[in-house]
Amino acid sequence: MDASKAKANLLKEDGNKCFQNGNYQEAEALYSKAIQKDSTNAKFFTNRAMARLKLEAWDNCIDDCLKSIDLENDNMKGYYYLAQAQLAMHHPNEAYHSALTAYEICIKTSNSSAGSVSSLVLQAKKEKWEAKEKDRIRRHSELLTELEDGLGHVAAYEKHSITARIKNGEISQSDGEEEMKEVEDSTRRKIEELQNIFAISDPKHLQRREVPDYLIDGISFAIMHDPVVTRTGQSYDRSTLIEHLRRSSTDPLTREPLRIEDCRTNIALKAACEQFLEENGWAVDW
Amino acid sequence: MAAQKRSIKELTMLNNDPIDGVEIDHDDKDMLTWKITITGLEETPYEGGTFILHVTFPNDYPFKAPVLSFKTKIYHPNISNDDKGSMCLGLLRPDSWKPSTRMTTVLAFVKQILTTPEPDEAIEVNIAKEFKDNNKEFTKKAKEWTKKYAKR
Repeated sequence: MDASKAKANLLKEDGNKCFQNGNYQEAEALYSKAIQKDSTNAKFFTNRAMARLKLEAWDNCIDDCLKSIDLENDNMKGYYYLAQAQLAMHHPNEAYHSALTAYEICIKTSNSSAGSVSSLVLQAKKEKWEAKEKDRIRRHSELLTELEDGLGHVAAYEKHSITARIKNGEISQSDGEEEMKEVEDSTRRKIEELQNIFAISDPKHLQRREVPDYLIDGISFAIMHDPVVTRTGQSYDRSTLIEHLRRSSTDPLTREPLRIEDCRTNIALKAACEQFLEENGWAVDW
Repeated sequence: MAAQKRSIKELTMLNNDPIDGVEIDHDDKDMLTWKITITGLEETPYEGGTFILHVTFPNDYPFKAPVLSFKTKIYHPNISNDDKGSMCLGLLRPDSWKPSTRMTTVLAFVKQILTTPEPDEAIEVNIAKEFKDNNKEFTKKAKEWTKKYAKR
């Protein structure tokens, strides 16, 4: 290792100490100095990204993550911090892909962070759904306003022609006023009806907010996103099962010896979880 | 976090589908400790007694078993006769615990052990010996303790 690389490493160590003490500003500065000395070490960038996450400097954090991924393809931490920064910036679609990549790297490399990365995947999924929901609610309320306005215009037109007929002497003043009142009443009723229809079609009124048992992990009792099936036929989320197997290499149901290699992805169930979450992002917090 | 989530769900399940003679109380601020009141079953030496049991969920619950501790003194081969009042046998033993075991099962198990002690897995060896060799004397003492410590 040449001198500047060694010096860079020392700066990084100092940065880590500052980070551990909660001095993120100083840590960021030290990591920057380390990068000046040696800009080829992916770790320096992921460490600075971590400090920048704490400092809520999302854009800069994302730059560091991308740089670290450039330097080192299977950079789990790079993708993990990237997903967090993207979530903070309300880019749930990008965050979802980054988190999923981090998760896949975790599984491939048996990284012990699979549990927290898996929660991040679900969090991103939830926010994706929330964005879609928000958009749907906005579209519906715009449509409702438009239809209400339309009914208003029709009423105004009818009232206008009644006024004209009164002026021409086709109908009496009192008959005309009665007709006007009728138009107003019927318009009001139509608008009420329309509002009712929209309210009923709101999924909040329709769905019972419950997650079916078969999508629930028997250990964490939360919805799964990567179910694997054991020899007993029971499925668990891969991340919770890994967490269990780290403590005891046994089947969670029978205590027979079990290794993660013995389990297979439950593809059909995974698709079912995926589809359910697509339409019911709230299930993540359920 | 995960322990919290699961304990809340277990509580909801038990509220929807309660176990006879078992009441669960908890502090909203601390979902990892349950205070349980068990009514002594008829035709057992514990009849007429009310027993307080604390369940503590470790931080890595459900990967680790919940910890059971009787706060009411009880004369029983499977419950330690000290200030801990711990009960740790069968499915609760670290080497038998399965993370898929639900609290409904655990509490049903506690009820069953109160009805039918397991002297071969005893923590109080002397009580177990008495239970096997001189059941009359065991029943008498257990009844006395129930009267003395577990009457409301």
